[in-house]
Amino acid sequence: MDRQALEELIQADIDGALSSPEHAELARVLMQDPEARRLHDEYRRLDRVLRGIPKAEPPPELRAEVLAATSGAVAARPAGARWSAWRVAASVLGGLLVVGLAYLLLDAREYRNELQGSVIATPGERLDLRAEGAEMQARALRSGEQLRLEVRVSAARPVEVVVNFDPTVTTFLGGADLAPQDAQAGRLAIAAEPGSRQMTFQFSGHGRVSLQLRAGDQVLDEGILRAD
Amino acid sequence: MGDSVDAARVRACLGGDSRAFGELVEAYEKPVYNVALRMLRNVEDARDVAQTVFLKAYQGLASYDPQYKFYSWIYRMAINESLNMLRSRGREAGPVDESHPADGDGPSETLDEDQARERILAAVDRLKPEYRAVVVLRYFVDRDYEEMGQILGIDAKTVKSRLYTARQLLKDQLPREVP
Repeated sequence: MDRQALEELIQADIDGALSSPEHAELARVLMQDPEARRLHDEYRRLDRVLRGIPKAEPPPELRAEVLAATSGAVAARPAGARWSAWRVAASVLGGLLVVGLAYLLLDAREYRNELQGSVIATPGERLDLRAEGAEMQARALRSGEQLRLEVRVSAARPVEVVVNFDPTVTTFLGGADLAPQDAQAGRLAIAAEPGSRQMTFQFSGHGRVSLQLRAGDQVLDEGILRAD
Repeated sequence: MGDSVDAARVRACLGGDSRAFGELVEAYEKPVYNVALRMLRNVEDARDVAQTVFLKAYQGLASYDPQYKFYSWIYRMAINESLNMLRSRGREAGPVDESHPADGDGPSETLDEDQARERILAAVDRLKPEYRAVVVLRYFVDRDYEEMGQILGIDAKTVKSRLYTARQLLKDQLPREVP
């Protein structure tokens, strides 16, 4: 048996791929030839070393990143990390970009240029609240678990914008100069001085959001955004 | 992983059950990441490739042919994405016995098992990608000749031949055993 044939037999033996006759042939050669035994030992040791290399654990956040990207939302990655997930998610949602741009271009509402949403989000419901001397437009943009609420309020007098949500299913993440802990039992209240003000709120979860335009204790107008 | 389980998950996913895709990710994130890591030897690149593989799998789930095993499909993507990354970053190395002599004092020196593993891992990294791929599939996701052939789109005989050459090259980098 030449060297190549012997090495092929040894490697097939290591892979458990020898037939019975081949196995018997290899056993006979190993009995007779010390050089064959040395070679067999070397390949066995290589196999053992390779099998002894530990399997690496994937980064703990990998699964969440993948699932966030496939559900339409891209999870935040640590600073300095690269954004292939973002790149691929962007390609996944490329079609939505076109739709989103068309939506923005075709929308004749007055505030369309001031309340532009994320290109990866599906346009959500809008809500117009009006009262004498005050009006408010709101739009919800959902992207997976993430919800962005964009509000523009114009008033000739001091008013208050109140956002209500169910804190058991929706979490306020921040926005309009408020921190998450500023949400009291699912209620956010923002004072708006006369003039025009735009504000953005970030939430996670799937609940609905209701809005009120208030002046002191008086509710001027209210409505619900279908953001779930 | 049972292939019938995977097939059921794919069907559920295509039927709108997003949890089913989460189960597929959970089942395959470790092997896919390990394939990429051993092909690329870089944790960030491996992470990027693993993400890309799962996202492309999600996008292309409707094109998955259930007559093939799911792992063949996803491991093939992992290998191909790794090769793409190697090509795009110009990191293809020459064969281990031609371009990169072993580190240290050479293969005849005596090293313990941990050092031997490091030496062999470094040698795997210097194999040509087609040889590295069969070593990775054999030793990091435990595939046999037929399965490797399916994954790589080559016949089992070619798999055996590549594995034979790869092991020959690696064996020459194996240090002597500690007495």
